[in-house]
Amino acid sequence: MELTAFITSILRDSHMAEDVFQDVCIKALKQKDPFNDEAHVRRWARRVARNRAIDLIRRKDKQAILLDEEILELIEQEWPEDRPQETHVKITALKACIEKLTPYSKEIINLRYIEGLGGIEVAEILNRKVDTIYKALARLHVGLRECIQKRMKKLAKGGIS
Amino acid sequence: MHSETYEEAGKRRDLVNTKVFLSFQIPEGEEPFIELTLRYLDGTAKREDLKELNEQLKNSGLKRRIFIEICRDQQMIREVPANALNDKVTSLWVDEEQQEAGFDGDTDVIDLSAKRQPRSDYRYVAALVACLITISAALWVALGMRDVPSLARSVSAVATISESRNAEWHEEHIGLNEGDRLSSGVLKLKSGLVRLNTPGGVTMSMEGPAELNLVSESLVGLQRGRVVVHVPESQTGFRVETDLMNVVDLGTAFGVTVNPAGTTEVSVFDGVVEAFDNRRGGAGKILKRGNSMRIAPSSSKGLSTIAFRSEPYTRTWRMNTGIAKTQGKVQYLRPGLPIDPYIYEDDEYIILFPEKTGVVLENPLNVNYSTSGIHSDFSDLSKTTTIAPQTKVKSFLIQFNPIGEKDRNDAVRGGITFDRPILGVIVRTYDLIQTDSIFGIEGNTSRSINRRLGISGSRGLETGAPEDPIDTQDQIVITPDQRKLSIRLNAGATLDHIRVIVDDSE
Repeated sequence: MELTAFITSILRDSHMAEDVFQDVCIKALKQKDPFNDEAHVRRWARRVARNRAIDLIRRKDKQAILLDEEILELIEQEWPEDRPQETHVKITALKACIEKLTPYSKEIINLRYIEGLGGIEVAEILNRKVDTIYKALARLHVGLRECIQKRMKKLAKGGIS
Repeated sequence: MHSETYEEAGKRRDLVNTKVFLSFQIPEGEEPFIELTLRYLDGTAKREDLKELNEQLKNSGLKRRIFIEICRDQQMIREVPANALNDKVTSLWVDEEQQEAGFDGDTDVIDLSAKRQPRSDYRYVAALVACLITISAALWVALGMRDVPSLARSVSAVATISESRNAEWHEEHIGLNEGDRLSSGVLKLKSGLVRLNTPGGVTMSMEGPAELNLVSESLVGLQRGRVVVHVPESQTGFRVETDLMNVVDLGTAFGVTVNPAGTTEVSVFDGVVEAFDNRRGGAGKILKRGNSMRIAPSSSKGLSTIAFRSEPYTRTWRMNTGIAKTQGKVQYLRPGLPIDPYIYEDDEYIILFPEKTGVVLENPLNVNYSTSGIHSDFSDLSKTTTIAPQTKVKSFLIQFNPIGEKDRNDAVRGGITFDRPILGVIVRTYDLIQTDSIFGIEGNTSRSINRRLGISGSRGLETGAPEDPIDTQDQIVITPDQRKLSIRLNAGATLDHIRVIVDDSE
C-alpha cells in the first residue's frame, strides 16, 4: 500500500499509479543485481517508481503542475516504512470511523475517493461551493485521523471490539 | 466482565507492535495547508498554489510529514471495503445554510464535515422544515390531489420498480423491492435512489427524501423531493404535477424538484416541456433544453426563468439512463448538454454519451465483442457476433477525442458499470457507422458522420505499433458479470469511439 500511495502522490491518478506499481514489480523480477535487504528493495522501488511516474507525467504534459524534483526527493526519503500489520489494523479502524460519518460526509468521501472525482466535480454534484468541499475534506481528514487514534488507543487498552 | 476474544487480542498485539503509528498527530490549525495539499493531489491546484506548496514543503519537515500522511490516508480510504460507504445517501436538497448549521436529520452520527451547533438550533430548524412540509402537504390536498394511504403491490400496475440504490423507504413501504409492481398511491422514499418504469416506457428516477403520487400511467404528483423523467415519443403528454406548477411533457427528458419550503423548479435536459402556474392559471410557458424555471410559495411573481440548473440532477439523471458507476477518467455527459459527440474535445477525459433506449432490434445486430475478457488485438474484427432480433436494448457511446490532432504517446483509463448486462461492444469503424442510424441521436447519425469525418474517417479502436509501450495501447475489458467495461484509450491524432449495447428488457 505504501508504494502505491507514494506513486499516487506524484501522479495524482490511482489508475495510472497501479500501472506504475505493476511496472516496478516486473522490473524488480527482472533485476539482475541482488538486493541486500528489505530496506534496499524499498529504496530501489521508490526510486524506480518516482522516475517512472515523473516520466509519465512529462510525456503527457511538459507543462504539468508538479512539485519541484528536490521536494519529491525529500518526500521519497522521508516516506515511512511499509508496516503491513499496522496498515491492516488502521484500515479496520478507518472503516469503523467512516461508518460513523453522516450520509453527507460519506457521500463526499465516496465521490472523491471511490468514484475518483475531483473537488470541483464533487462540488457540482453536491451543489456546494468548491471551497466548501475542500474545507469539508480537510476537516474529514483531520477528524478521521482523530477517530482512528481514539480507536487505536482504546484497542491498545483492550477495550474495543 | 467482557473477556477479550482471540481476534481482539490479535488486534491489540498488532497495535503494540506498531507503536510508531500513534506518534504522529496533525497539529491544530493545519487545515489550510491540508486544503492546499488536497487541491494539488486532485489536480486542481493553480500555478500560484503550486509555488506556495513547494515553498512550504521545502522549508518545513512538519509540512512534508503532513503531506505524506494525507497521501497515505487517501490510499487507505480507497482500500476500505466499499460497504462502509454503502448505507444511505444524503438528503442533498437541504439548503446550504441548514447544512452549515449542522442540520443532517440524523443525530445518531458524527458529522465531521460540518461545524456542530447547539442542539436547540437543530430542533428549531428541524421543526421549521417539518412545519413547512406540513403546510405544503395541506396545500396539496386543498388543490384536489387525493392521496392513497398505502401503496399496494398490484397486477394492474401504474409503474414497476426497475432499480433501487441504497433506498430507505418510509415505514409503510418497507420491503418494497426491485421488480415490484405498484398501483396508484403515494410512494414515500426517505433516502437513496429509485427508478420506476411505467408500462408505456416512461422512466422516472427519484431521490429521497421524496414523495411521489403515482396517479396513473400518464400522471404523477411530486409532493416533495426530486425526480428526473424520460418520456418516449409514444407517451408525449405525460405530466408531473406539484402544488405550484404543472409540467407537461412534449417529448423530452426533464427534472422537477420541490424543496422543503415548497419552492418548485423544472429543468429541461432534452426536448421541450410546457410549464403551468397553478395559482395564476393562464397559458403555459415553453421550456427547451437548457432552460429552467422556478416558482416559490411566497413570491408574487409566479413562474420565473432562472439560470439553467442541472447539477442537482446528476445522480438521478445517471440512474435514469442506466449508469451505476463511473471510475477513473470517465465523465458522463451532464444533463442538458447536447448529445452531439463531435462538438466535444477533451485531452484528459473519456466522455460517455447516452444514446437510444428501448430499441427492439428488427434484425440481428453485429457486435465485435460480447464475452468477458481482455480485448486488445483489434487487427482482425471481421468475425462479428450477433445479438438476436427482438431483443430490447439501449446504447451508450464512449468517446475519447483529444483536442486538435497532435500525436499522443500516453493513454487515459476509466471504467463504467452499467445497471444491466452488456450484450455487445462495437469498436470497429465500419460497425460503428452501420449502427449509427439505429442508436445515434442528434449529431451522431450517419449523415453527420459523412459530413464531419468522411466515410473513410477512422473512429474505431486500433492495435498499437509493436514498439509502443504496452500500457499506452487501446484495451477494453468486460468483467465476468458483464456489467462493467474497463477501458484504456490512446486516440493519437484521431478519435476513439466505442458503442456499448446493454440489455433493456423489463
